[in-house]
Amino acid sequence: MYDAMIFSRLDLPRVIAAWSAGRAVYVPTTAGGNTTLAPFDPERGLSLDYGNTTLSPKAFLFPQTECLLRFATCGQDAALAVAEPQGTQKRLLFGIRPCDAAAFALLDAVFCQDAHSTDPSWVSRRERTILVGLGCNTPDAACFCTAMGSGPHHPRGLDILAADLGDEVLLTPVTDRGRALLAEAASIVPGIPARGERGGTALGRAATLRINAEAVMARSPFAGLTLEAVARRSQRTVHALGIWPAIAETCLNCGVCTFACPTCHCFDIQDETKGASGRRVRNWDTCMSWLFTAHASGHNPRPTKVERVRQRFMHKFKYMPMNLGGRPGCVGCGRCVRQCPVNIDIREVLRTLDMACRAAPPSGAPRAEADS
Amino acid sequence: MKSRTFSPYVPRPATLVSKSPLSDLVTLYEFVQDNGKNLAHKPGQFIMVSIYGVGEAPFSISSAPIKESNVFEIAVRKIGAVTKALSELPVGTKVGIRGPFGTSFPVHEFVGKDTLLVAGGLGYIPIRSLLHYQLRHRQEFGRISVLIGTRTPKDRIFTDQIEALAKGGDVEVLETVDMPDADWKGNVGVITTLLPKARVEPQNTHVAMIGPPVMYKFVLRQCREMGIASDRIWVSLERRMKCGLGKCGHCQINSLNACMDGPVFRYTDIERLEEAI
Repeated sequence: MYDAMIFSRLDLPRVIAAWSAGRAVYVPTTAGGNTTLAPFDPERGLSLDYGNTTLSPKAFLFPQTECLLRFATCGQDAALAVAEPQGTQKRLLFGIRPCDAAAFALLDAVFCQDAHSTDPSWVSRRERTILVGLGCNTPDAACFCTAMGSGPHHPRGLDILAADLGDEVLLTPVTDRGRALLAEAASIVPGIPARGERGGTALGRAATLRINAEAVMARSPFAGLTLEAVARRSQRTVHALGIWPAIAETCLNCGVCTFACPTCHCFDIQDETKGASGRRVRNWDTCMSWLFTAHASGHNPRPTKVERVRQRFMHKFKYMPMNLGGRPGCVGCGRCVRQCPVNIDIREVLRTLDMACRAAPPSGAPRAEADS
Repeated sequence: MKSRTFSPYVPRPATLVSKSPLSDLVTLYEFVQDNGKNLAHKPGQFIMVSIYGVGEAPFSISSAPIKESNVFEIAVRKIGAVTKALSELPVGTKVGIRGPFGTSFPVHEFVGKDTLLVAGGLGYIPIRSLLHYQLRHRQEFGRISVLIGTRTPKDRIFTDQIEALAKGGDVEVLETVDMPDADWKGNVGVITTLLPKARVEPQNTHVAMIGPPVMYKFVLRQCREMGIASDRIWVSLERRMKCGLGKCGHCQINSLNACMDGPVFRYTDIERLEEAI
């Protein structure tokens, strides 16, 4: 921690301006009730008074639509597809929240799970995107990162963790890349190394802010959520619980939860043509859609919304922990809680799931067979 | 348009070298890769075929892996956008292919054992890859029984090959149709009506089955009743797929991806997965 730096809050725009040399910098910007990460504009200044971006920043690494390849539909080059390199721009995202950075770290395991199938555009964007996160001093009522193995000032996935101390900002490097970036800023803007008594005070204030934020979350009615019981049960047991129809009952299958979610990563692949050329794109998809699993024959393995809603929660709370060494496929950002049009609350689902798993009979009963 | 970036999403060019109708809607397509290389697939694996401007879809490989020949076959029913476009391609057209992907039938485990192949409808297409592999290495395997069920006599595919196989006498071939026509002289009924007729030694038999979703649980139950151990039964499961790389989420069967953990599963690996069968 000794290489953390303290900057005056008033100097923060200058720090960001220094980082803007040679890369595109995005900062939180609120307009019309929505917060986005928008290109940094020194004229407009910088507000740190935001909860979190309305949509997750996943589009910076996994755009809603992106070109996978280009092709000609006729002539000599027909059937010759050429990869379209993606993510060549150097970027810095300032002010992303620790939950969203944790989501990027989680998706690394999906997009780069093995050497043969590493996703080139994810890797390219990840390598060129520096993440300077801002710890949350005032988590809101929908936040539950502490229940999902993260926290309001958690550094996982970040290059630098920033703490807003009011009159000052404490920048703590997490990676070597973050350390280099901090040195870059300090060469232009006067900063104070967080050492000695001066540093101790700043580190102490940052720790207090973190503890206060965690205390706010600990007072949430959902503070004690745990996946322990879900982890103990077989996926068959969790799948067969009787809770799913009631959870799915009000769902509209609109998919807003999956689009707002920082860890949802399912995609569709489509061809688009214009004249003699075309491109193959991948678009965000949603497991809430009937088409997501529909076969050409008309058969659908997940024919009703009950199966689809169950899939979303099972994927996050059972399958991803099974496949990713225990880490849940949810970071507790709360966006689906805030944006679901029928108020399905993933925390209530998790609590119901936890209670049902605790009450479920032990796994191992043989599977019932249908009659012919 | 010129780039050397490697991407697992970019298909390799292949040329359609022959097409022959198998039934009203099913056609056999033969391809060779333009890079001159053997596809080097294993029985049960699949490829993604691209028709640029229409899309990409997964198809089981129907031919056996053959070192001496670079030709590989898929058999496809005209039913959706890509398959319709495929049916309209003239011989000589180039398409894109990715793969082979997925797991295969573990033929080394079948060595020295009897094999019961159960093919419902188009399930015969991937079963054929395994069967032809076994016929090419005939001396390594014991008895081979093939059960084939189709809806109507008009839906039967590879009829000449199957009739020749049955006449040869080396392989036991049993066929049935759900709905006979006036000319049909063979068995009538669903595929489970064939199992009791097959000469199977349960203790020494490995089973490979592929068919429509409704088929599996009935055949599986019958296999169990016959005394065939679940860990000697392999099933191949079909799901909607997009990437073939375990990322896009479409083909999930509970915690597994059909594209990488499957499509061929040992039954004991999926019997406790509610979404599998």
